[in-house]
Formats: sequence, C-alpha cells, structure tokens
Amino acid sequence: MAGEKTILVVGGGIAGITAALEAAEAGSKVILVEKLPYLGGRVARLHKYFPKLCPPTCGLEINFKRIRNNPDLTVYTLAEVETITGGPGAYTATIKVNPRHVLDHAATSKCVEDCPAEIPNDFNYNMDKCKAVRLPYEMAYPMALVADAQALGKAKANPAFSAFVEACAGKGITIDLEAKPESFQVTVNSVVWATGWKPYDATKLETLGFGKCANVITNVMMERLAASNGPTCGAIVRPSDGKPVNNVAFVQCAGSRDRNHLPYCSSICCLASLKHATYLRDYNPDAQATIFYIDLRAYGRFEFFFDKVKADDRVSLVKGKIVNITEDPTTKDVIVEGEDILTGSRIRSTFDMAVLATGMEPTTRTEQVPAQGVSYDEFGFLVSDNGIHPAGVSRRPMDVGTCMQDATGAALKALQDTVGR
Amino acid sequence: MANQVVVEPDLQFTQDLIAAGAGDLKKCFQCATCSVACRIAPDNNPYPRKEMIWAQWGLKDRLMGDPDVWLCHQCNDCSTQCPRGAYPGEVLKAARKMHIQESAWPSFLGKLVGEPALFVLAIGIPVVLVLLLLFGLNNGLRFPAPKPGEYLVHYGEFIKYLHIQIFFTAALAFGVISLLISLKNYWNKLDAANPALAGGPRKGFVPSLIETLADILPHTTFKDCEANNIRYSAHLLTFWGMIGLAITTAIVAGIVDIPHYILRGPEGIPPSRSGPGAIPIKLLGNVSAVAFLIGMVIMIVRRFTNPEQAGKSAYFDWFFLFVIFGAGVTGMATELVRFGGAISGAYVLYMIHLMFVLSLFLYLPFSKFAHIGYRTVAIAWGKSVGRNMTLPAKPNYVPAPKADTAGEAG
Amino acid sequence: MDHKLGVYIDTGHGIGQALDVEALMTVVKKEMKVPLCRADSYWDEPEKLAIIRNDIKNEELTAVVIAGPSSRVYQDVFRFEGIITERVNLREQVIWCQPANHEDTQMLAEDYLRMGITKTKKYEDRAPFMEETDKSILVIGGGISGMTAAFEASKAGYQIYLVEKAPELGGWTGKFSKVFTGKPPYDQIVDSPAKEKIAAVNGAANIKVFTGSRVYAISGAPGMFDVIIRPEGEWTTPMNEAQQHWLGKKLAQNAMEAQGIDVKEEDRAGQPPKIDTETLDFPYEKIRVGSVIIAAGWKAEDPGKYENLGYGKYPDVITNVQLEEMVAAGKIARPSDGKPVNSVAFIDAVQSDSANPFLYSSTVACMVALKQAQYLRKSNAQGKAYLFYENMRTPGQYEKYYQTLQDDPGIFLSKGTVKGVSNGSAGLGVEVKDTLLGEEIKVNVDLVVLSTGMVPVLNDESVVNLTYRQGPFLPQNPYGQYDSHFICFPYETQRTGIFAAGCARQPQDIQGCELDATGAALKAIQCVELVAQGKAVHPRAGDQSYPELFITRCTQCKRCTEECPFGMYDEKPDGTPLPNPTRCRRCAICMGSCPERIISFRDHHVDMIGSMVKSVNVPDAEDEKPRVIVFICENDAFPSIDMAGINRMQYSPFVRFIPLRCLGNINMVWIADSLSKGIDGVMLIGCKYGDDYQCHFVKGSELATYRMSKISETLQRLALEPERIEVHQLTLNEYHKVPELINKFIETLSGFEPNPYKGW
Repeated sequence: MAGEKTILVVGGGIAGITAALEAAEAGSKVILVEKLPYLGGRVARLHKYFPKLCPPTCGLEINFKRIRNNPDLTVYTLAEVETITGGPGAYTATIKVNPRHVLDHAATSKCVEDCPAEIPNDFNYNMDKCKAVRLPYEMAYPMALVADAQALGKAKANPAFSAFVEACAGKGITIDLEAKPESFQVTVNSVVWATGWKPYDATKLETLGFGKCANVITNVMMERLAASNGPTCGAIVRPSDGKPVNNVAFVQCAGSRDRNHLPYCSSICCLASLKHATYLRDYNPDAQATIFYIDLRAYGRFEFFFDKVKADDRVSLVKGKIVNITEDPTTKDVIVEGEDILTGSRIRSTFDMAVLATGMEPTTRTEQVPAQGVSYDEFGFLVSDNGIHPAGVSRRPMDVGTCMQDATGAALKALQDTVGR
Repeated sequence: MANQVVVEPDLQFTQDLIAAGAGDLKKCFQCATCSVACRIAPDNNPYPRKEMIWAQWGLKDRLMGDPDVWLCHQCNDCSTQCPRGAYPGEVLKAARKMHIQESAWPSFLGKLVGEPALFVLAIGIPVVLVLLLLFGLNNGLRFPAPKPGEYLVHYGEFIKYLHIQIFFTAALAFGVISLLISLKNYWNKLDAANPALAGGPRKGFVPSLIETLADILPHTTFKDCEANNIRYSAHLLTFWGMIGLAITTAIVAGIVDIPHYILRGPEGIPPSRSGPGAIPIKLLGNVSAVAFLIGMVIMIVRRFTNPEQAGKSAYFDWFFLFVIFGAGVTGMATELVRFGGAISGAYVLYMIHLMFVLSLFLYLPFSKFAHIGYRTVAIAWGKSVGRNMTLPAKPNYVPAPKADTAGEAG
Repeated sequence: MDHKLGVYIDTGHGIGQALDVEALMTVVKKEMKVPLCRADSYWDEPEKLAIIRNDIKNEELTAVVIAGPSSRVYQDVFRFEGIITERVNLREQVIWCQPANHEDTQMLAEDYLRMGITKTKKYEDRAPFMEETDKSILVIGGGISGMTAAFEASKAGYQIYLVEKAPELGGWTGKFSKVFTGKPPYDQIVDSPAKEKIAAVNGAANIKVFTGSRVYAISGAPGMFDVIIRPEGEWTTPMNEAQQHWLGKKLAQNAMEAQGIDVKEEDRAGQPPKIDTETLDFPYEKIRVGSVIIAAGWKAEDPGKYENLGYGKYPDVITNVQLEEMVAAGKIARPSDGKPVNSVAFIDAVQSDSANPFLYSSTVACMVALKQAQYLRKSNAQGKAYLFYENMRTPGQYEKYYQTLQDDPGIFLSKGTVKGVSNGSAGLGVEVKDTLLGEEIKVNVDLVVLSTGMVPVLNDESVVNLTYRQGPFLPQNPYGQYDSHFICFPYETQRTGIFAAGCARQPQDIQGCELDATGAALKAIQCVELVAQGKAVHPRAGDQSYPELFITRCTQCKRCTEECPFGMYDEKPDGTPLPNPTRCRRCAICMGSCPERIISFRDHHVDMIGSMVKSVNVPDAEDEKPRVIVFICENDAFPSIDMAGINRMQYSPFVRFIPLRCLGNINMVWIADSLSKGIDGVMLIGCKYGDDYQCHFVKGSELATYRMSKISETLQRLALEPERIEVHQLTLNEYHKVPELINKFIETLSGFEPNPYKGW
C-alpha cells in the first residue's frame, strides 16, 4: 500500500473497529490488525450494553456490514504487530499473521462437531470447552473456522482423527497443521493503538475466594452466563450445581481503587453490576440482587439507569466493601463479609453466588507498543498522542459509547497525519 | 445514629495523632475493609473504620472517649489489607497514646513521657534521684571491700536496704496512685463521651472487672489475633514474667524484709539478703525474669524483622521498651555478674538497674506501661455498659427458600 | 430497464446434497426465463469467480444472482464493478434450517430463487444524487469543544467557520482559573488550556472566527447548508419566544396523538415560526457549508427549587459556578459582607427525587468540589472545606486526584444527605444525615457551595434555527439529549450533517469535551466527503440510491414530510413535499408512509417488493401448504434468521422472508398484495422500540406498529381475520426465539381456513 494514505489500526475490539471504519469512510485506506481469530474483542462477549440494555450483536452486525462493504479497509485476524519504526507520517510496521490451520468456505459445515480434540473455550472465559476446530461464535467476522494446531497435534494418535480429517475434506474443509506464520511489512502514515483491556486476574484477590469457591465468578463471566450463546445458553445458574440463583452478591471494586491491585477506578464496573442485576431479575423474577459498594459511580446520563435499577425493590445497595468470601462446604453457598457502613454493623451473609466486579487492566500495561518514543502513565495507559494515537481503554477506562467517540476522534488524529503527505 | 451533633473539627488533634505515628490517617476512604479484616472487632459498630473518620475529622471527644481503641491488640491485619495505605492499626495506637496522655494525672508528666524532645529530662529524673540516694544518704560510688568468708558483694553496704525499701515503695505507691487517678479520669471520660451507653443499664464495676481479668490473664482475645501468634505467645510470656517478678518482689519485700526491720530495727542484714536460695521464692523470680526477657526479645526482634505486621514503632513504644527491657536486662545482668564475681561491675549494674526500676515505677501511669491499666478499664467499661464483643457463630442472614424458577434457558 | 442476468447456484456447502439442483435450474431457465444459469460448488473460489467474470464480459451481463450462502458472507468476494449483484440465501435460510431433500425445502429454495431473480430484474438504473457541494464546516460555539472541533478539523485541511456569541472565544474553560485535564500527572489541577486553544484557533489560516455573533438561520442540506450569521442582539428574544411557543404546542400535540386522541385543528402546532431569509434588513454574513458541529455548551442548572438549601434566600449560599467566578475575580469572600471565608460546605447530595435529571448527574460535580476545596485551602491555610456527597465520583485516573486531596488535613469528606441549610449566629448551619460519622451532624460554615448540574444549551436558546419543515430544533431523545442512539451512533443527531459535541451532548470534563469534539469533527468531515460523492452517511454509508418522487400523483397528505425521522422533506407552497436528498439516511420510511406509492429508490421500490411477493408460488388450498410472508428489518432481525440457521435450528418451511431497510419501510400495499394473492399470513419483525429503542433510524419499527394498528380496514375489505397479521420485536441475540416465533404463527393460522384468494 506504499504511496497511499494509509492508517494502521491495532486491535479489533469496538474501539479499533470504530477507528478503522470511521477513517475508511472518511476516505483513507486502513489496515486493521487483530490478535484473535475474530473481531469484536471484549464487546463480542457482552450480553447487553448499559444503559439501553440492547445487545452488542446489533452494533457489531452493522459494523461488520460496513467492513464488508468497504473496499478501503483490510482486516487481518490472528495477526500481531511485531515492530513499528519511523515517525509520524511515515511508519513501517511488521505484521505477523498466524495460520488458522483450517481452510473452508465461510464456516460451511457442522462436521467440526466430530472433532476429536477439545480445548477450553476462551470466548466463554473457559467456563466450558469447545472443539479444537471451531467457529469462535455465530457472528464471528471473518465467518471462518479456526483450528488449535496444538490440541489437534496431540489428538493425531487418536484413530478418530484421520476419520475426522477425511470427513472435513469431504465437506470442503482442509485441516493444515503444518501452516507457518507469515510476516510482512506495511508503510503507513499513522497508527491507532486500540488493544483495549483485560479483566484483572481475580485469583490475585486472595480473600475474595475466586478459584476457591465454586460459586464465586467475575463480572465478565456473568456476561457469558446471561448470554444466549454462552455456556448455559443464557441460564443464570450456579456453576457448582446448575441450580438457578435466587440471591446474588455483587462485589464492587474487586481490585480497583486498591493500592495492592489497580490503584485507579475502572469507571464502568458499578454500571456493569447494576446491569447484571437486571440480567438476574429478568431471568429470575424471584431473585434478589445485593450490590456492595464503596461509591456507586453512575455519572452523566447513566444516572437515569442507576435510578431505574435502584427503583427495583429486589435490588438492594449496601455501602461497604466486601472483604472476605468463603464457601459453605455442604451447600456450596458463598458467605460474604463486610460492614454495612450506614448502620455500622458487620455483615456475614450467605448468597447462592457472588459476582466480583473485577476492574479493567489496560493491555498496554503488560504488552507495550513495539515502537520508540511511546509514553505511558503510571498505570500503564497510553499517553503519547503523536503519530501513535490511543483509542478506547488504551487511553483510560471507559464505557462502550465513549470508546466509540474516542475512537472516532483517534481516526481524525490519524487522518491528520496523512494530510499533505 | 439518632441525635444530631454539631461538629467542629479540631485540626490540632489531627496533627497530634499524626505526630503520634498516625501519619497516613487522611488516606482512608471509608471502604470498611479494616472493620472486617479485624478478627476481634465486635459486630455492632466495629472498629477501626469509625475511628478512622473521627480521626480525619479531628473529632477529639469522640476518639478520646472511645473504649474500642483498647479492644485492638494491633495485629495490623487492617493495615496490611487497607486498599489506601491508611494504616488504621497505627491510628488506633496513636489514639491509645493520646488516651494515656489526656487522662494522665498529673498531666505534665504525661507530656514529659510523650515528648521525644524531653527524653533526657524524663530519663534524667530517676537517674538523679538514685544518685541523690547514693551520694546523699550513702557513700556514693565507693564500693564496699569484699569480706573474707562472706559473699563478695554487699549491696546492703552500697545502698542501705532500708533506703531502698522506703524509697521504692514510695515511688511505686506514687505510680500506682496516680495511675488509679488517671484511670478514674478515663472512666469518667468514657461515661461522658457515650451518654447513650453510659445512661443505659449498667453492670457493677467489680463484676465487669472480674470478667475482664478472666479474659486478659489468659490473653483470650489476644489469641484471636491469629495473624501473628508468635506475638501473642511473646506477650503472654512477658506478661506472666512481669507478674512473677512482681509477686517475688512483693513477697520478698512485704513478707520477709519489712517485718524484719520492724522486729529487728533498721540495722543488720535481712534474711532475704543471705544469698540465693536463702528463701525459695527467689527461684520464681529467676524463672519469671527469664520468661520475661525471652518474651521481650521476641517482640523487639519482630519490630525489626517484620515491621509490616508489627506496625511502625513510634517514640512512645521505644521509650517503654527501653525502660522495661532495661530494667529486666540490668536486673538479670546484676545477678549474673554478682556470681561472676566482677565486683565493681555488679555495683554499677545494680545502680543502673535501680534507675530503670525507678523509671518503671514513676512512669507507670504515663508510659505505654499504662496500657496494663487502660486496656483493663476500657474493656471493663465496655462490659459494664454491655458493649457486645462476641462474634455470632453463624451467618446473620438466611437466604430465601429456593423457588425452582425455570427461566428462559435454552 | 431490462437486465441481462446470470444465475449461479452453489452446490457446495451441502446444498447439492440437500436440494434437487436440476429442478432449481429449471425454475431459473424455464419459469424465470433466465437462459444463463450455472450450478457448481464454491463460487467463491478464484477459478469459479473467473467463470462469472468471463460471462459478464462475453454474455454482457448487467446483473448476477448468486444462490448459495448468506449475503452476510463473501460480500467482498462477489463484488463485480458496475454489475448488480443479488444474493439468494440457500444455506442459512434453507438447507440449514430445513430437512434435506424434502419437498417443502425444495419449494422454499425455489421461491427464494424466484424472489431473488424478480428483485434483480426490478433494479432501475439511475444516477446517484450529484450536485455541487461545499466541504467547509460550521462550528457553533467557541468554548473548549467548539475550538477543539474547529482546530482539529482545520488540521485535516478543511475550511472552518467558528461562531461564538460572546465577544471572545474561550467559553466556560476560559472563565475557570484552574482545571483538571485528565492528563498525567493526575494529582494536580493546571491552568486553563483556553489561552493556547484560542491562540491555536486564531493562528490557523483556514479558520474564520465570528465572535459576538449567532447563527440566524440554517437552511439547505448537507453539502449545501446556507448559513446566515448575525451579530448578537435583542433579536434573539422574540425569535426564541416564538419558537418555544411552537415547540410547546408541538409537544402537546405529539402527546395527544401518542394517546390516540385526534387533535383539533386549533390545537395543531402547524408550520413552525418562519425565519425570514429573504429580507435581511440587518448586518449579516452569509456562508455556505457542508456540515455543522454544534458545541453550544452548557449552562448552570438553577438550584433555586431546592428551598431547603436556602439558595436565593441566603446570599452566602452560592453555586460552584459562582465560586469559580469569585476565584477568577481574585478572592473567596462572603457575598453577604465581603468577609474572608474560613469554612465552606460543598454540597453534592440533597434530599431530592431529582426532578431535573441533570442536577447532580453532572460527570464532574465531585471533581469540581474537590478542586474548589483546594482553592480554599490554597488561599487560606486555616480554611476548612467540608464535602458532602452521595457517591464520590472520580472515575478512571481521577481517583488519583481524590487520593491526593484527601491528604489535606483541612478537607473533610463524608457521604451524607443534606437535610437543609439554616442561618444562625455561627454562620450557615448545614444539617446532614446518613453520614459516615455514624450520626446526624451539623456543621457551621461561612459559605455553602452547591454542585449545580450542567444543562445543555440548545433548544431553549435558539442556537440552531433550522428552516426545516419539522421545525428549527434538533429533536431530543427521551433522555433530553440531542443525539439519536447514543451508544452505537454517538454523533448522529436526527438532523443529517449536524453533529452535537461536548456538553451540548452530555455533561463532560474537559478531556471528554476535547475527545468528543475531535470525533464530531471527523463525522463532519466524513459527511462532506460522502455527500460530495452522492453517498449516504452512517449507518448506510456509501449507499448511492436516494428517494425520488413521482410528484404529479402526490395528494399532499404530508405523511412523508411528518414521518421522516430526519426531517428530509420541506414543503413546497402547493403543499407537496420538497425532498432534500443529502439530508436522507436512506431508511425508506417515507416509502412506507406514502399511500400513493410515489416514493422509490433505484434498488428498492414498492413495485419491486410487491413483485417479489407475487413471485412466491402459492399452492392450492387442498395441498395444505400455507404460505407466510415475513417482512423483516434487515439490520437486526434478519441476521438473527441467519444465526438460527448457523445453529441449525429447524422451523416451518412455509415462511418466506423479505428484508426491508427498516421495518418503518413497510408499505401497507404489500400486505394487501400478499393477502390478495392467497398468502395465509403476514408477519412483521423489527427491532425493539420505546425509550431504549434500537432502530438505526430512531422510530421505524414504532411507525410500522402504528401503521399496522390501522390495517383492519384493509382486512375487512378482504374479509380476512385480523389474526393473519402479527408484528414482533426481535433482537439479533434472540435468534433462539425464531423457531418458536414462526411455528406459533403457523399454528395460529392453522386455526383458520386457508386464504380464499389462493390461485387468483
């Protein structure tokens, strides 16, 4: 693409997709690079957006449609940016594309059902397993299968394996475990960095029982539980015994606003938990949601949503951080401990399930931009805004709507780098 | 929650707390992690969250009249888990220091002990007194020559036993009396600061005290601070060592020596001075001393090796440790040296020992030593007003019966 | 026009095994009279594509129909320059949701081929809407957002006109002495960035600034807006009064109509107050721009209605804005007696069932209170600042600033609900309950500062002054803001080419405003670029079709003018609609609204859909094979049918889906067409509507539902049961409900006699 006015967007989450599309629709060439085999990032794994409680699939669909319709936009999935050299207006980036290990015609066949190897389903935060040859999810873009070469390699010995490979071939699907990654270089005028975030590792919160108590899950897992394409097909039930949950504790600031974990506020967890309360109440009208918080942060127009949820008499808000979570060994109920600050009494309550509102950790905190002269703040968020432009949660914790605004702005910043060059 | 109070923050008080070692108190953002992290805080109005905001707001009366600060045994779980690094443990410790100073009688002595600047003066007083005793009523630093056939060291000829008896009994009496007066002040403060509780049905002082002792003597509550059992054992050793020593001294002085003087007049050597084992009770003294020292050493070492758990050590801590540990060590050393036969060394150590012991007695109500009294009184007060301090055995919330809701799975 | 078609049936994907391909080809060749029809596997493969390209060249095809997988895949592969490409979905919507080699499955596939080919034949060859357009951009408002939008857009090389009513640029940001910028280090407040911004804007060659001016009128359409800029003055007052009066009537009318009350003529709002753009007897400047960014900012909400806070009653109870002005003026003193202030209570939480949603919902209230507490402490070492809040809201990295301010010994923070403020000897007494101190408290202070909300300045100040038939305003969403779907389309207002940015959109901090304005600038640029190529903007970006009217048949019913969510139509003196194509979002709602069926797009018109319906093969009654047409929104509901297929969900083979641009696109005549042809039932599936609507076009599915409520008379004419028509809302992630939805309807229909019009 040398010579043309091109923008490289790294990260295929909602911020990256938006930045790429907005720039492309404003008339510049765009290369979008995503590490996973599909676009959509974290948003693809959400059940609903607050405050409208509409499904992200709707927004993703229109964006995927825009991508398909736009010849100026090139998408690479399973791809990573290895190095970026040069400066504003003229960068050279090395992109490494990892193989899908399977060739087919738009996820054409269900024969993958017979795949002899299974792997933990990362899309569902490993709450279930999936076939080693799979379509990541119904709406995946690109609509193409992807194979886990490692898992399949292990299964080779299994007689079922060759049968499976044949069956696939018959359905126009070629499994190729030998395929190697390919690297190539592109010259671009500007870079938008939108590698987003990951949920803070809840196992680091020793006293909150994640990984120790069967019925302690995180907020992102709650999204999958509620999602109709999730591990339980939308049934909000207990991991331990699959029983419907009748009272759930939502534990705010699980890691956020804590010098021992994430010192900053993740901005969205309060609203997410309010949203989760609505999931629970919609699924089970008898259910009771209790949200334990330090400060309930619903800002700007989200206060409407806050008021709406607050009005539900089966959603109660308790000011006071949850400090310990233990498990009742017989019932597998979770016992949470905290202080109800306004009444000044210690709480030791039993719930069917506890949801930890884990915070957002910027990906750039651990995986930095492979380029010189990029600066970060003390928390690992991207600061530099010269030639390499942060978009979305790479800049600061923010909700989806704000991500889209920010990404649109980043697109203009990038566009400026292409002007007069 | 009920009645409304007019609040006027006392910035000076906050400053004092900070000076007393609560440097991070303003960092607290009231998440209540501390109140829950604490293994021994009661379920109703647990500490230290409420103490934290009182401290931030400089609400002196509230904090100075708060018995809860004495329920804390400073395991520092609150401090290690605090998401903001506000160190509630230190804040309560600082509050305890303030309690001692605020109720001290006579109050200037409270200041004297609390002020790092006045260290020399504070230590100087007992030193000078002992020296006066030596040079004024005895022969100063002239060590008696060893008498053939007898023990090499004759403390009695260095300082007359009678002097010691009178002098130290007086000092101890002063300490005890002013401690009692201070504690009485404190008790009144508690009543004044908690009218609601104080006004309610009360248990008598004595029964409350007995309950309290039943808890304190075996360190029952302290034991619940599992976080650092070693400290619990150490303190238990020191505590009982202390008591052992006290008993020894009391018996030796009260039952043996003093009657001796009364019967035989001031001259002569009381039986207790007839060397080791002359009266068996002294064995207890030795055992206690050993226990005492071991405990002390453990606690001091922890302060250096594990500051996060042991908490920050302020001047007030060091002063007390210095005096009490000094007394212990010198006492032990004196005895050993004496049998070791280093004559002059023994006399010098003996003198220093006396100085330490005197400090201990005089400053009993003003140094951290006073916690022995304040903690007892605070807990007793709590019991007398029926402050609940027991943790319920089972969860205080029972989930609604599980209706089988099918929902829209599928 | 007549198209030369080529039809390509994909036998891959298992289609060959599940369907009788020969029979399909017969349908194409014999029945549909398309000589060129090929069947082969995987047309997406390069060598297969070559075959199609050859046909296009050799056979001079003008259109190709590819029958295979859903149009959701290979959109990029099956792209032939200048050739109409239609896709028939035999995969997701036929073989994946129906039993293989079944008669009904075969019929389904054949019908979809018929419909697809019919549709393709109906494409009309019309040029896109191309007119002389202008690419410059108007920015209204010279505050931080307006200046940022102007500057950033100018940096991308566009001509900008910036209009500010005040004598200088700067807005609120210019009035604040210190601000928090959201940039590291986060523990400090810094000097206002206004000065540099102003310098940058004035320094930019391609920005023309009009200070002390307002927009008098905006007429025209994206790419060709005519803007009249007039010096600020008294003239705004009468204009605003007239507009407010009209708006009041309009809202009342809407409310009545919503309740189904038919509104009397005198209660109708009628034409909006006219803005005279002919006789301009005052100094003015006229400019032409391609798009508009509205950054009119905010004004402080009036806390007067909270009597218990004593605002207006006690001079020493002020708003945070007043304090900000005080500080800018030099010193913090008591308004009552000018004495220095030693203690301040900042109140962010009052007992209130927040009647005005903006009050206390401001994103920045807590940050401002902390900042102003710091003002006091900096100016008075002995000063005491009390902050009472419901929740301390310092999101993201701002937590750091909160943390830093906590360390100040003179700042006292507590959650608490302020019961009231009273005036006593000790100054103002503030009574607070539910505090962290465990009891109700009262503090005596010299000054009380209320956190006021930020109300967007827009409709109530005649900022936009559009000369549109639908009125001078930007329509507000149910939340009182001016954007449409604020999650997925954060910038789209209901007026194409006009974008709201900064606090005019929602309360934001300075960083928020800057980011927001930059984004709005991009959308404005996008808009001018797309309209210059005769293309639609988001969400149908790139669509070159546009509505054309066969005006001679118009009956002046005004439905199109009123129902267009984007105010695309103005009105000619004779009452007929005057389309402004560049305002159009191509949702075709107007096409559905027109009873005379005179509105059409080149690739989407009433006849096209009607013919598709008619092309469906309806078996005789005795075959007991009912037929159902499902008109479905292509944006959200239609893909969910694919999802069902991908999950191999089976449902009745009797339904035929016809996607529409938006359910609001539904025209009653299609229902009549269906029923009169013997179709047994008609189903409408659109997206969720209401306050939290998902419609890409704001109110399409709502309109459809409304129209259906008026269908009864059609049915009576045909003597058919009303149950034969159902309207549903379906979101994309509810695909698991599809089989139930469809099978239920088929079941309902089985309760009736077959449609008597079969075989007519």
